[in-house]
Amino acid sequence: MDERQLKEILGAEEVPPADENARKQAINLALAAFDEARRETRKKRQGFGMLGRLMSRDSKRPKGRPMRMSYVFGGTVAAILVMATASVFTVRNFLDSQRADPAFLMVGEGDIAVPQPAPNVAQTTLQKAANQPSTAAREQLERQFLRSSPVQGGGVPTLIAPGPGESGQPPHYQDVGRDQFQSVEQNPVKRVAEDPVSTFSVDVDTASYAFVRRQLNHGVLPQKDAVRIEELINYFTYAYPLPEARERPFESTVTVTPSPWKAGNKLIHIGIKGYDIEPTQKPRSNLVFLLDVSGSMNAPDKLPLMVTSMKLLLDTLGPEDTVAIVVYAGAAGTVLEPTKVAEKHKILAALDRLQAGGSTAGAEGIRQAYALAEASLDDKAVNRVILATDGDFNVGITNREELKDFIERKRASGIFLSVLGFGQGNLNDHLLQTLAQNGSSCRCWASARAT
Amino acid sequence: MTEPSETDLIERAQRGDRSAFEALLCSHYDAMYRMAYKWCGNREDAQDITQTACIKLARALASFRFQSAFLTWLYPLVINTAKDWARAHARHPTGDGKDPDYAEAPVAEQKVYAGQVLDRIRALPEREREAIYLVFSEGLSHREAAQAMACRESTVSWYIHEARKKLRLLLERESRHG
Repeated sequence: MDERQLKEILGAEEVPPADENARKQAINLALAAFDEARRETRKKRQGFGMLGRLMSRDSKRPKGRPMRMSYVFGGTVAAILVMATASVFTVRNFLDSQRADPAFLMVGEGDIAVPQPAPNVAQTTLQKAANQPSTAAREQLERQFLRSSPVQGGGVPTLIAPGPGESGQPPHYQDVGRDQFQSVEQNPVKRVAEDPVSTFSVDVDTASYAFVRRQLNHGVLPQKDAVRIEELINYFTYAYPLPEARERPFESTVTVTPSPWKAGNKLIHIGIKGYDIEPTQKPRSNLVFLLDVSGSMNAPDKLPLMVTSMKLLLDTLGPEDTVAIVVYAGAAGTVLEPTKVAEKHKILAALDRLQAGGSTAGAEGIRQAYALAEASLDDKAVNRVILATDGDFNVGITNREELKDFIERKRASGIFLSVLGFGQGNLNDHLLQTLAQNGSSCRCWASARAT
Repeated sequence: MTEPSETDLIERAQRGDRSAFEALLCSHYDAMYRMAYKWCGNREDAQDITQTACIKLARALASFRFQSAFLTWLYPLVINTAKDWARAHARHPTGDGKDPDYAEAPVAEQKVYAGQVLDRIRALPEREREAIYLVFSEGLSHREAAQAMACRESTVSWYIHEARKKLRLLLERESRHG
């Protein structure tokens, strides 16, 4: 291959244009970072008044030095910040999460202080933390608390509602929507002496993060109960050390820090990372797609997005894996008998034929899907029903408990359930969560893939 | 955008002029996105990488000293962001990295061949890949690429030599086995 050919191939690669929203968001975030950097520089200049002015006028490198100094300064602040936010989120998680996913404990010497509701905790932390660093750092902290999500990696704020919030106009907020969420009760503080054992579940649900992100991207505050902090935290992959061998199912990373709001108390943060199975060693998959094609799925961010997702999933499967498709609307029906992925065109054709319409007999669909999965059950394979829906089950069994029992029984036979949520306006989050938890699996929510 | 006004924008942005920085972002977003896309070959990832790179730029701009073209200076910023991104997301493969309907495109053979070469290039060691990309895709001279990669010109030439050797071997093996 000669140079000319290489150049041609590289030059001819088509680059699809970036999404306009992504572009705007990137520019807004960069401008926010720019403002931040500028504020730091200004603070710096005030602090070292004379020096700053002397350097910024006629030196040969007019902008370089003060900025570089402030960069170092920014570094220390960021470090303090990470600690502060981390601890607050720890506590908030402890207070708010029903099933503490990474388990959180609080240990005191003697009595355990009952922290006030979370916002106060945040404030106390702020004040305490702000006692050491300078005023500038304190303002920085406050700013960060008001604007950013858990600091991830390089300290880049990842969740800023673009537009309306900046201009002083409160974004639209609606506490009651058609999307249903189970209301969250705060976890009580427990005495270690009385409840020495804590359990945590190893599944990772991430639906809440994707849902909240979508709402914020549209300039709307999400419903309170849609914000499940453990799901926001678990959405990200953390660099905790992995267990070295398969025999150790998980590795824990424990940090003990002095409590920032009460001297003498200690705060323990436990991170859990499970053994990571190499994707290359994955066993054969026996999948049944259970797809909701009811009338409510007739929206661009629902059925078409679902079909695209299923096609992407197909690409990750091996030729020996089997796929079956069951759809449900007013009634449930098998669209595709278990088919090897080697005959991919059949599967794609079946997906392309799907159309939305009718009511939603979800329960009947679940039954048929499990029946198909059982028919081609393979002990050595991954047997899984993948339910894709907007969560609206309104015909047949609509009783949560009944469905839950059914799925639990099936789990014992080796068939697991994954739940994918689509769209908004109808999302019955609680039902989906119940289903996924009892199907021994994860539940996530698909945000729109702009095409 | 003409050269003097770009310089002007950068200087004003370095002095803390917000609107100048915004204009600079607007005029370079597409170029940065394009670099990111060429690196990772996927629209969503490219957008995320570009966003992170833009945020980094807000702080990094102060260290630009006009010793090279602004674009040349931007390459390492975007590419390093892309590398970090790839490392952080290595556990989340997104399909096989190809456009889903790539294979069904009508002008099959030419495209498939080009796709194979691109895949091979993306599988090269990072530094070699970076050199290939800067020289053959972005049309930089070996000297400019050396500047962007913070290494010597001869090192760039060596990376390219090595990369081409690997590409040639791979493609030859392919054709032998049909």
